[in-house]
Amino acid sequence: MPNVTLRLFTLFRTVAGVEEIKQETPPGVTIYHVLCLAAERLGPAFRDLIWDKETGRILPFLIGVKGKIEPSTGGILNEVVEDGAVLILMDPVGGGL
Amino acid sequence: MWIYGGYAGKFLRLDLTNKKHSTVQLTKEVARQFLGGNGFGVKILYDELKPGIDPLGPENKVVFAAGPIQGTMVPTAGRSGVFTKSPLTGYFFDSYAGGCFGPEMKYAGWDGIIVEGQSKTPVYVTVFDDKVEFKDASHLWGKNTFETQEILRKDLKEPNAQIACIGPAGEKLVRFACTIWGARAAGRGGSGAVLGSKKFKALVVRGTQDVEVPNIEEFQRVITDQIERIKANPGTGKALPSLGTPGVTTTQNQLGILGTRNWQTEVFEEVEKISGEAMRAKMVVRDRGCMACPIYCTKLSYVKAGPYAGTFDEGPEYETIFAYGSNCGVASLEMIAKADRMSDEYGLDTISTGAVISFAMECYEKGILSKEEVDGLDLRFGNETALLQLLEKIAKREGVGDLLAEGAARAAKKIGRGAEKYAVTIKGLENAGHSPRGLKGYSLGMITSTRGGSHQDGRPTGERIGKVDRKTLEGKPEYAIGTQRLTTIQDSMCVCRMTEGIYGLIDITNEHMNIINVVTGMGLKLPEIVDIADRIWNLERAFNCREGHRREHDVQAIRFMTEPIPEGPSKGMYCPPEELEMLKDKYYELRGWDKKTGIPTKETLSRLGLTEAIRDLYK
Repeated sequence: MPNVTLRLFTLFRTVAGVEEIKQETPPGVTIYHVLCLAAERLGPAFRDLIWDKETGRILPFLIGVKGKIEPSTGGILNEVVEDGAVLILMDPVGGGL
Repeated sequence: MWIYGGYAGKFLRLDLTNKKHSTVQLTKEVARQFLGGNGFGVKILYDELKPGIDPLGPENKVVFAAGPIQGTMVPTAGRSGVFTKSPLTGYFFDSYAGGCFGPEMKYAGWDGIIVEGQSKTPVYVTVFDDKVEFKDASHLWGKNTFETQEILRKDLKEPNAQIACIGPAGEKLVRFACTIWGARAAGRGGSGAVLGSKKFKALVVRGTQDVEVPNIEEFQRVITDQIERIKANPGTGKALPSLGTPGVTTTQNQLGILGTRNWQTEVFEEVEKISGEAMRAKMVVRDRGCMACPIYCTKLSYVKAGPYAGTFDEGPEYETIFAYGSNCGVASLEMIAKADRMSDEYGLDTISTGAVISFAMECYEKGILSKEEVDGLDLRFGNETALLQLLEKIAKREGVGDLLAEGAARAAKKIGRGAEKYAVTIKGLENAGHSPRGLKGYSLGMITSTRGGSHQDGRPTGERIGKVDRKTLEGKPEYAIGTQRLTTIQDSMCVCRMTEGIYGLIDITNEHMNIINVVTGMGLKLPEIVDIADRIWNLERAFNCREGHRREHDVQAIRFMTEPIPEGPSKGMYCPPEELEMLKDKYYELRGWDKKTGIPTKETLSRLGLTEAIRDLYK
């Protein structure tokens, strides 16, 4: 089973309580599926950072993979993850005062 | 209620030379055309200041102004602004802070307070509703901002008064000294120095009056809906309450756009040590909010151990973490908190102070400044002791601090020897903690702005979160104008940037319109509000053009135009001059500015009713 590392920042880290988790995944899964597996493991508070509670739509946050950072609401969730991939999750904190 | 809801209908004028005060009536026309905040500031200063005056001379003025929503419970309506001709840039400058000062000014019955003239001796002024008194401040001169506020509250027996004051840095005319109320800083641009030049130590405000709206039931319905949406939004309801603005630090680094060692690079290898997550774990003892704000993004920090043990700080915010942290090569949150606290006490803008110190550090490391020239300090990046010592010298204008208190651009010019390319300034203002190289639209929004190196005109958020592609040029003039209109209206309303996630982060929206109308009863349509934003923006531009600003001054810092980011996810990105010129052409066309000079055209000024600007710029 391939292994994927999720490296967590900002609110993802606060809610998960850890900096990173390793997730076993079946071969050929997409990033979307990895997030589903992680949410199952980390619980509803984590899930609520990824999916809108009412509509079920993906919320806007940032995902980093293979050196690029992309918004969650683009096509990146459909990308197939490779064994050993590192996914970075960050939420889009506004401001900067 | 005045003609429109939310307004007091009048300004207070303080003549420090003659120790007299008077009332200036707000007109319906000015309220409707300029709304409040920066609109009031630029209208007053454009009309009342002559071009070419010395910002630190007696002819300059400082305007404290709020908007119609301050004093109501509109979410984030605790903010207000300070407006003046900046001693750092020589241009119109606006600076804002949260807390409670703006609302208290409204409760005292004033939409704004104009400070003019120059006192021979230190003075402070009390404004208790309509009762205004000038008082001797010689016992306060030299005191830091916290001491000043404490003494005044005790002496005046007014524990709930709101006090805007300057610290020793303002008294010493440090060009980036700020105005402080509570622990909030109207940080940028040097308003503290302008007040210091007038020997004006503090403005004490206490009010007992109401701020009325035309339909309280409708107002409550709109506000309740706003609060619920703020709490439901992941950014304002979870991320900001949890980590505050420091949560941005790791995001910036992951994108490869965190200013490091005077912007030599944009990846900081020790970012984890200065992250919002680390701050929450190590130092945060309490969350705090401004008046009328449900977000509670401010973090109160306490340093429990180590060389800075005992430091209590309101903050540090992300900008300060960048300025004293990564950009100075420092990986200690505790030191950053100490520096932040010192800056608040002295009344220094943390962004400019950090940037000036990082400029000096690079000059030292590159041999442009010798150890003797920096008073024997070992001014290498990362030296915490040297950083704190230099901060104090700047505040007091001692030794090399006297040179650096002039700001990075002026200091670089005086040093020569190639130092100019290490002064990372735009229009004389030291760059804030966001990357023009890594955010193309933000870069354009910054160089075409009134203030220059500020992150509060063109905004970085839309590109940073991926709503707009940060690496491409297409659509960026439109993006820059949209974000500038947004910030202009936010600043005339004096609402917080944290509402971006709810009200919109790329342009003015119906949300802004609904709030303005439910408070004022003006019944404005969205195009009229866009016109207000354009009117304010163009009058600010006219102010600067009257001072000699032209197209050739709309440029990036030398480093950003000539040095690509050397590493990380944004490697290779920079701001080529030819790219900026191409973007400016399109931007000027959309704005209605002359392509050769950058001056708003007669047609643009006429459309916006700015006849005074036509008179001055087209003699």
